[in-house]
Amino acid sequence: MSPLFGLLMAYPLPSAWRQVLLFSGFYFHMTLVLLALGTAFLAVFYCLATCFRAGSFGQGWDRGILRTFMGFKSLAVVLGVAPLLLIQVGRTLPFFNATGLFAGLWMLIIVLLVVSFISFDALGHGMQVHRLLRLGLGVTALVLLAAVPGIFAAVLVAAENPGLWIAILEQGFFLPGSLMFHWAARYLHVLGAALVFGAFFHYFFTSGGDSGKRAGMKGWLLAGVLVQLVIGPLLIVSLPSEMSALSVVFLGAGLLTLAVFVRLVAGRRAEAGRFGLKSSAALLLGVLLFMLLVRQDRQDRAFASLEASAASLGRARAEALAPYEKEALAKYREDVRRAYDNAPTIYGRSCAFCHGEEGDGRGPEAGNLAVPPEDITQIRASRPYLLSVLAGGVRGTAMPYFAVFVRGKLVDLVAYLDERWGVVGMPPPVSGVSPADLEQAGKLYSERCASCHGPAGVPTAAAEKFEPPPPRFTEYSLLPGRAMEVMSGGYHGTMMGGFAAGLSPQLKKALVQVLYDLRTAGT
Amino acid sequence: MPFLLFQVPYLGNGMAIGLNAVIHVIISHGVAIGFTAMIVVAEYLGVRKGWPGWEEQAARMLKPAAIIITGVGAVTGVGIWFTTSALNARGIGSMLRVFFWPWFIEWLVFTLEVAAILVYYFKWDAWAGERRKYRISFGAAYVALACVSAFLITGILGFMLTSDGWPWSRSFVQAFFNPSFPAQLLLRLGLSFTLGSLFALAFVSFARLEPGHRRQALRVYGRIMLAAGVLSALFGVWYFAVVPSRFKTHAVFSVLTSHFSQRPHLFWWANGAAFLLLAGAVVAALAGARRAARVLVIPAVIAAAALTAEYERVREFIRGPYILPGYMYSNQVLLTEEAYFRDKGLLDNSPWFGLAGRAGDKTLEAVYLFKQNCSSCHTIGGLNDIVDRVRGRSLDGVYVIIGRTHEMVPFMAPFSGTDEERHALASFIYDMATGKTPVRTFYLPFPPGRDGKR
Repeated sequence: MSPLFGLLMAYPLPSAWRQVLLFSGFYFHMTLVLLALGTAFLAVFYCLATCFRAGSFGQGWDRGILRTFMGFKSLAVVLGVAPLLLIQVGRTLPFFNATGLFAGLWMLIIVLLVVSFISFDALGHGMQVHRLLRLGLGVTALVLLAAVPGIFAAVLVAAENPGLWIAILEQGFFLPGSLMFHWAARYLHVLGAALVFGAFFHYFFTSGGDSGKRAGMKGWLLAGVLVQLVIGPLLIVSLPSEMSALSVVFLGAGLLTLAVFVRLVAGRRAEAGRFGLKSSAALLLGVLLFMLLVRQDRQDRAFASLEASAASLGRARAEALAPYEKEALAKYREDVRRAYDNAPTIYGRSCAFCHGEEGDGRGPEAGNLAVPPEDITQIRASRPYLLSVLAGGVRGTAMPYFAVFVRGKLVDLVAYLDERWGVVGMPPPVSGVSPADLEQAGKLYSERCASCHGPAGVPTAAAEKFEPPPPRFTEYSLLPGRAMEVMSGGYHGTMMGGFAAGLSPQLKKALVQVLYDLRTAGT
Repeated sequence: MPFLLFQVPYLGNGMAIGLNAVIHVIISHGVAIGFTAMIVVAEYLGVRKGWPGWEEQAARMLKPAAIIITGVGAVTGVGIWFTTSALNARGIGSMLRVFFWPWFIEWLVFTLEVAAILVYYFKWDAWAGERRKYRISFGAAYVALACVSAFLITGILGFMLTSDGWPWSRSFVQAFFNPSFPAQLLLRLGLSFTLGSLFALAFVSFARLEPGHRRQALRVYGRIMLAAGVLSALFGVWYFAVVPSRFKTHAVFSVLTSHFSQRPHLFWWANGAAFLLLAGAVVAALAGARRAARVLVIPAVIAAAALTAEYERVREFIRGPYILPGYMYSNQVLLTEEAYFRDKGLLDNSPWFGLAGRAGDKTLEAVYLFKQNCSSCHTIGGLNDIVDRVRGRSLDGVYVIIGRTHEMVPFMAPFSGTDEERHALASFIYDMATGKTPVRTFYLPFPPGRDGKR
């Protein structure tokens, strides 16, 4: 396997270990999730009872119930990390693509959990507010919290059905019809289980032996079981594929355990309202174990073919990439050794591909540009003007803004350009220009150039809208040879035409001097 | 790319991951390690030293700490897995292969941490008299475990900046115990205690306490903050000394961004003001001056949070353009793939693009190219808007810039794709920049097509 490709295909621990750890991590996580969710539901219910004075035992019990929420939710979160880690390692492709399918909702879980956790914990740990506000906050927190298993269920349903990923994509954040039914059944199944677990816990641990409270919790517990018995068949019917023999065995064992649990809780021995903690807890956890085993078996089967094809594709890609490895590492080695903390490096890497190593505008990308990069060696400009061009770029050309470098680096870059090509300052005066030529050139400038470049060398408002706009002659000049070249031949890709094409060399020189005089006047 | 590419509207993917991570860092460092340590200090002074008022103060500090740690700190910590799995699946999946065991051990430590804070909180009233000794040991154990978490995570974070010889050796030891690891660990611990003592100062300044006790508490926490702050500064100097110039040179820009990069004095003024506020809070605390502390401490808390966010921003930014140095660019393209896609094409070699069955849809092709190449940092129409970045440039200019990103701007990943794909992306961005086509976010993995399908 190519060392430059294979990370995602590497497994830090053997498959069996991954499976065992993932399952056991998920089992503990789910137990705490169900306890937290059930606790939140019951607390809000008894808060409602308190608000509307229904039932004598309900008065203030919600606080007692809610006080336990902090422990459940904290452990649920922390125990959720292990399965999250392991599924990313063991079920990389289905898991990441399912989170990608529901990315927005998946990340929304963070907000949902933070708001509901803070609300519940504040209410359960001393926050004193009006009862209706308490109820409102509790209901809001419960709705937000209850949405979380819905999103998880959607992600897992999607992960287990790779054949429908495109259909899910086409519908945005929605599952296609058949899966939607399955998702709903699965989600309600989780909520029903939460009710059972929450009621079971509070029957023993927060009722304080109060028979009224215990009777209430027992009622919730049996109601939760009843809900499961209604939803369970719907869930089985909604399964996108047939159950394996192993799943059927696990399901049967789960139902049998549930039957024993119900008999223990609702049987004759429990008529007095009491049943033993140890045996009933073991049975309840057993039911969860078998149900999760069914889920795990189905998931393993759903992922198997996808992972096999992904591994095969991965091997093929690794082979294809192998020839590029040497080049990639060599480039990386060069890159990490190079610091853009000096002007020669910045020029060489950020400018030269257009302006050329020698600043002559003949870099390797120059041929791709309609507006050719300027020959830097021919520029004589003020330092602030050069800095403004570097920081802001030139509109309508390829010249980008280099504000990606802080001011000091651009100042150094200008100094470097000046050191190499003397770009900062005034151009030398043009020799051999007679006053008459100068006068005529002045007139020519007014007639042919000023409409864009402005009478004083500052572009007119209309010309400022050109892409690119003309340069400011009060701050920017080209050496005579280059200036005459532009006057005569124009500047490709811009509005600058060869307006001086037919003029005599003397008049062109005089026109250059006129531009230089504008610079002097501007200065 | 074997995974889908989602774009967080307005914030962008990098900023969404960063926002969650910064909130987590402020809580995990400032509250979980620092503030809880200050609670243990208060309990120690009350229980072991018998200083009046301290034990009660510790109890009052513990409740909000427990709620914030378990409600926000833990969730945003796990939230990092949520954001990265949705937005940077290939990156986090690959990192997980390199650092599976540190992360797995960190999970065990995290579990113990949560158990310790729950016992510490729930048993506070139950363990009275001599049993208070056990209680304090749970608080201390929690702080120690949180420091172990910092140790484990710092090795991974340090790797992302200074991977040392890992690209060639693939040595875990070299990756984890990388050159910036020790300095960064000490810096983080120093910052934790500085933040924690500052949060404690805020609590003491505003809580209803007996005046004499408040003065004493202000002085105690002021001294701790002074010591931790000075040490943090020294560790900070050490840290930045070991960070190679290649990365360090972009530190100031990472904070100023191109909006303010030509006014670098703002960086120094803002940081100077933040440090002055922190120093002011320390002086007020050392003087036991409640009113001055009340005035200064909230701005100081904001300044400290901003400095923490700034540090994380700098660290995350300057590691660009890599997420796994020597292996993967920050846009989840492998170093080898860049060259491969240049020859063979990105779209033809992206499984999801093929699965979507939308070849020939020019918009989709361009959106996909944008998402794969640019969306880990840039948005369309939001923060760090790609349209703003190229606005005013000519079409051929955009084409040239795209092909030279990495060369021109060293913290940007290179473009991956053929020349034709480079042209397609350039036209797509250019058309939006010139108003020829509307600016749209395209947050879903595949935007709606002509038939209304996604």
